[in-house]
Amino acid sequence: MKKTDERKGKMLIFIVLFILSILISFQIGRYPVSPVELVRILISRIIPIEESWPSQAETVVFNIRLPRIALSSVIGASLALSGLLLQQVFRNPMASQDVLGSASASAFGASLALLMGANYMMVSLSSFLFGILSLLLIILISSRIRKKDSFTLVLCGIMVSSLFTSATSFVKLVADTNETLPAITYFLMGSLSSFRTSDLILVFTVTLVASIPMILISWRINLLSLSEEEAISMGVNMTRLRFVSITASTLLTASSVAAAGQIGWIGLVIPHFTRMICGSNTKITVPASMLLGASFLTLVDTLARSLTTSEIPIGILTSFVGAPFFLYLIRREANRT
Amino acid sequence: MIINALSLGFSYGNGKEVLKDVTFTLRSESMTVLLGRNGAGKSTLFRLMLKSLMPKNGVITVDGISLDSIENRNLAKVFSYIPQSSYMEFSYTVLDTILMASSSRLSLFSSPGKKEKEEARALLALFNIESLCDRTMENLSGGERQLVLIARAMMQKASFIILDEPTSNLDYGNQLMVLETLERLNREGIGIIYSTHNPELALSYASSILILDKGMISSYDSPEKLVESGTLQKLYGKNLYIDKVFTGENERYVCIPK
Repeated sequence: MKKTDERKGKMLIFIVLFILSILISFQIGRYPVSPVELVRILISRIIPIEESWPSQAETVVFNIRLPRIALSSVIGASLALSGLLLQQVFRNPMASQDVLGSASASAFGASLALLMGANYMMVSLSSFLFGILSLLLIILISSRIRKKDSFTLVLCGIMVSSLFTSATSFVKLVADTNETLPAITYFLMGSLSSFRTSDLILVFTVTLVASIPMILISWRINLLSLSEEEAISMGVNMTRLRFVSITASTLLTASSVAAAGQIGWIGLVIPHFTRMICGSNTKITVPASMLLGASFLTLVDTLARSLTTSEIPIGILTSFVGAPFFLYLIRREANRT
Repeated sequence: MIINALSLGFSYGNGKEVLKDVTFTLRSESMTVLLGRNGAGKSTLFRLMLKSLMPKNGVITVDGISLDSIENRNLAKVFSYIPQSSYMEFSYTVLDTILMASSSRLSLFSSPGKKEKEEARALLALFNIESLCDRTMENLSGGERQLVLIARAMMQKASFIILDEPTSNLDYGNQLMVLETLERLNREGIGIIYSTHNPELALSYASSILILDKGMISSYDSPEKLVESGTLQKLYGKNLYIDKVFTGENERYVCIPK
């Protein structure tokens, strides 16, 4: 009983953190909005109150910051859940979209679609297909290698990632240097600045479609940690569970990449922090990772748009956090084995 | 419950036969030990019983029904399995680990509730390890770990527990503790099948011993008959002194190289 209450308490902390990150993000920016102003503006949409704020403040809150916060929350949650699912499927704490190369593959798919002048839907689809292709490639390669430790998987990931990074370089090489190349380059750095409402609706829809089933089966995702024989003896259909998890994970990454480019490391770092705080039970870590991912990306995006006069691509900032954390994980794994 | 294996044959991709014409019968009231040298096909036989591998020839039946026609969810009521090393990459608590075995009883979208948690705690109490409930698996000793895995197997409520070398990596005291626990469960009606490389423990804690040699059954008999026939000496190619010892409560064996 004590443990259950403790877990509920930790979930509450994640919820509070998420709300705080949203409130902070609403207030900070080139046009600062004071906390009192923000609360009054938000309440005014529910209860009619006297307008005591400049009209620009309302425009900034509802037309600029609200969609952006919504997008950063959804993408942060998607990438964190996607990474968590990959770690469970590959039974490897170092698995993530970046390490396995599926983020590079999705980015290549999106770049290729951009080169061809495709719309968001096609960019997402192409991103998804190449993401799936890269994971199939990883599964195929690792099934032929007897030694299945963390480092083998990382090496396979480096190979796949390098393959798709080269392919992306080729796309950039043949892209029109005046229009398409700058668009692809900026897109690959990852940014939430150039979204459209249609993108927002699509990324929301895809995230809901992929994450709701995962939340519903969140306890069952634990079973992916078992060996093949243990799982079968418990009556678990591992093939189906893996297929559903990989599909959901790739959909989440692909829709995020198509909407905001390559935002790295969230899929690796966030599930780890979540596990450090609330243990490994996926019934807790699935919603907790989503909340922490959403909070993290919302805060990082706030920094990206307010640190300097011109906006910093968000992928650069997430890498500053992710790369040292990856080194820490490598050190921890090496000391353990 | 009766398990029948009829003329089982299996080979991996390289074509080399790992199991040849393996036929045996197991009953849920028996405690059977699988004995054999490295590479004799013990783990492969377990994997065939768990349907993680499909036999090239032959069939396994459960009360006359072929294993092929039994759904995984129903197979969970027949066999529970404890692998030689059950290492989970993520650190689950003891309670979470035991609850995983309730998956076959739960619907797709549900998770273990109060009833399952109480059941898991009762199993921990049965083995006097209820204090471990909230500890993580990686912080347990080898013996505690094995007891938790046996509790997990019990949670599944299967008729048989299959254990792949359950005493390897354990100190002598824990080896005996695990085997005594298995013996107790067997007396309560759960069929036990385990593999080991220790003939002394095999003879002491088994109602029957199945010896696999180069993929074939070379002997399937009671410990007494096995000792009389000198099968162990032939299996290991060594001159062994084997004797039965009455401990007052049980019959145990000593096995010493001459």
